[in-house]
Amino acid sequence: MIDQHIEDRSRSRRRWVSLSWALGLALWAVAVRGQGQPVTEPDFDVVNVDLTGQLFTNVMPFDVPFILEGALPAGAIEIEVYCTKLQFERGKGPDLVIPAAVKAAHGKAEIQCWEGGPRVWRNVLDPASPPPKFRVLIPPIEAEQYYQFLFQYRKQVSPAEAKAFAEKVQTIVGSSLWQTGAPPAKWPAHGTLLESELQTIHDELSAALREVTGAERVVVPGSVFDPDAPFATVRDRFNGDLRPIRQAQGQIAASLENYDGEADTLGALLASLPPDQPLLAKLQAALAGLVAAGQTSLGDEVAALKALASLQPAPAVDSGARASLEKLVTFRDEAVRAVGATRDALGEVGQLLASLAAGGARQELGSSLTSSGALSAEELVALVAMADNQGLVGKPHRAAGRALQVLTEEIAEPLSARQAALSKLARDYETLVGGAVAVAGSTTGGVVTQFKNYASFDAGIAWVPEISEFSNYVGMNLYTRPVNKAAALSQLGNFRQTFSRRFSFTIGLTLQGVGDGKTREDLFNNQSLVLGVGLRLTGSVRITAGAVVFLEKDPNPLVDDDQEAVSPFLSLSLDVDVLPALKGVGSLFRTQ
Amino acid sequence: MAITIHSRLTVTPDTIGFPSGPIKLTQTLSSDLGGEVATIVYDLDRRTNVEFKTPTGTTQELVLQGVEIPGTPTQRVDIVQLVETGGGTEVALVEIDQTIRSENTRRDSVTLAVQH
Repeated sequence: MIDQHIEDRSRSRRRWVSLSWALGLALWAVAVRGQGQPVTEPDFDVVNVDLTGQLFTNVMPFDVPFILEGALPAGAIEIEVYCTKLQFERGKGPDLVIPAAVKAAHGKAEIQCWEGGPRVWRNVLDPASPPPKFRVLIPPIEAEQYYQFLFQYRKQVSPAEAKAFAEKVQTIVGSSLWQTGAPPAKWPAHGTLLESELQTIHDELSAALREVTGAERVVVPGSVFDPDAPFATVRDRFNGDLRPIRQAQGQIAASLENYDGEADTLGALLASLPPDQPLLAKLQAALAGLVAAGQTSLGDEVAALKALASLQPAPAVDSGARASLEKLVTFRDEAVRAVGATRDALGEVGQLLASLAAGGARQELGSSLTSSGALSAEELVALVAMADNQGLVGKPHRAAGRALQVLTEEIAEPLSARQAALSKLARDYETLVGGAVAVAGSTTGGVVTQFKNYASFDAGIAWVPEISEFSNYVGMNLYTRPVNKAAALSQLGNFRQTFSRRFSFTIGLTLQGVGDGKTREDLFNNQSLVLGVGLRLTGSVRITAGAVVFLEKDPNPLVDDDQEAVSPFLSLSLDVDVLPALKGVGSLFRTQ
Repeated sequence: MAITIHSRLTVTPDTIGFPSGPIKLTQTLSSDLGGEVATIVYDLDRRTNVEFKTPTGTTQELVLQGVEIPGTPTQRVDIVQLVETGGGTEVALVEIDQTIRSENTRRDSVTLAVQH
């Protein structure tokens, strides 16, 4: 009787403990009904992204919103986040989308990650002191999927970038316009410029602008750098920008032809003025004789006549000289020296010849040469005639003078005009793009959401009606799909839509034995097996139905052959993650 | 005898549509022999369908004969008009080449931007 009384009291105490658990669970269940409400930011998972390395530094969660955080690209004022769900076959991995296609694919229903366009972060602080990080709240995405993200950010073109672009303008326009549409022997290019050629130069400039800014797009609305405008609409402005440069090149090319023409003329005339031209050689010998006789003041005249033997023709403009403006200027400087020397030499001889009949000391020299018999009167007249505009010396002297005029004056004007136009264009474009909005992007490789979220652990109270027992147990819940317990079920849809996130198989052990020593024993020492299927009612509260597995004793006390037996149960359980929060609640129901 | 260009050929206006209005070509020339007669030829790119409009039709080569070039630098002006014959050349910049022939040959050019 005493034993029976003690056992009854023990059973009663266990029931009260179990009931207190049940009440605690019920209270807590009420308390957590509101957990589907939006949570505050500290509860969000934060996933770091490295835009430079184009990768995420940790795995992304699923079914819950999360924050993407990363270092802000220099100068960025706005970031848009696009996402594409990658299609892939098991075993092959995902097929990455090319970066430009991520944004385009974003709007397609079958591969979009979320509805409602890109997620946007804007820098609302002083642009001079940008925050070091951006943070973007990302809507829930699915489990066990591969995703690709595009981070498109806007920034302003800095003065340094604008200046770097201006230098590129000088290089690209200078080089392209110099060569476009002509073989090297005809450079600098001139003549008609077709729209296709114009567009090529425009494309090169646009690419250079993207390169110096590190951006995919630079938006200068209404200008030649408006990427949204068809080329046809910027063409008229762009060809007007290039016209002064191209015109200067046309005039440089014309001047080079003029120079070549004069150089040819000079070459032919010098060929008709051989170093040993008889009359000039005779004059040189006569004057040399006078110098030898003591008239040393005639030394310069003798030297001038001697110099005719080493006259150089004007250098021709070859392809090497036409290769660039710099090479052309170098050629021009060398040609000026060569042609100048020839013109000066011819000029000195021409002056000497003309002066033999012009009166004064030189005319006396001519008279003395004829009276001494060094020259005949006819020879003296012929020598003087050589200095005429159409004479053997005068004509090449004029040709050399014209060639020199082309080099020093005629070609100088378009050379400086071209440089001025090119510099102005670079300055104008520098001003145009300075402060403009540049759009850059960084695309991640394939990123994957969490895979291993199929199980959770519960502690609960099970009612086993057949044996009139409440039994505490701990169990493991196995889901048929990944489940993020942090995700509020109410935000994932209605009961039907969230069924797969609620349903699980349960396997566990009772915490107290269900054996009575007479009709049943526990399966393992003082614990029995719990098997069942459950449904989550809220994020952490589950109702489970199943069976407790124990050993049934044979009614015959002489037979020691216990058989496994099952008894159905219904349970209410709580996720173990929230148990620490229940410490206080549990103490309220503790029996004294 | 020879011609010297003192001031390069300039064009007004420098941006045109087709058909263009009057285009003024201005230049300062002199002869280094006190004056001479020259032939001035204006040319257009044969690859295009841009032509000069003349009283008798259109041409890509405009020849002015018997042009007096004085010995002192003197400004001279020629007026031309451009038209597009046919279509589809897609010209962005068009160049008018000038050749002055006398004792020597002198070349010059101007470039016009085409508005569509």
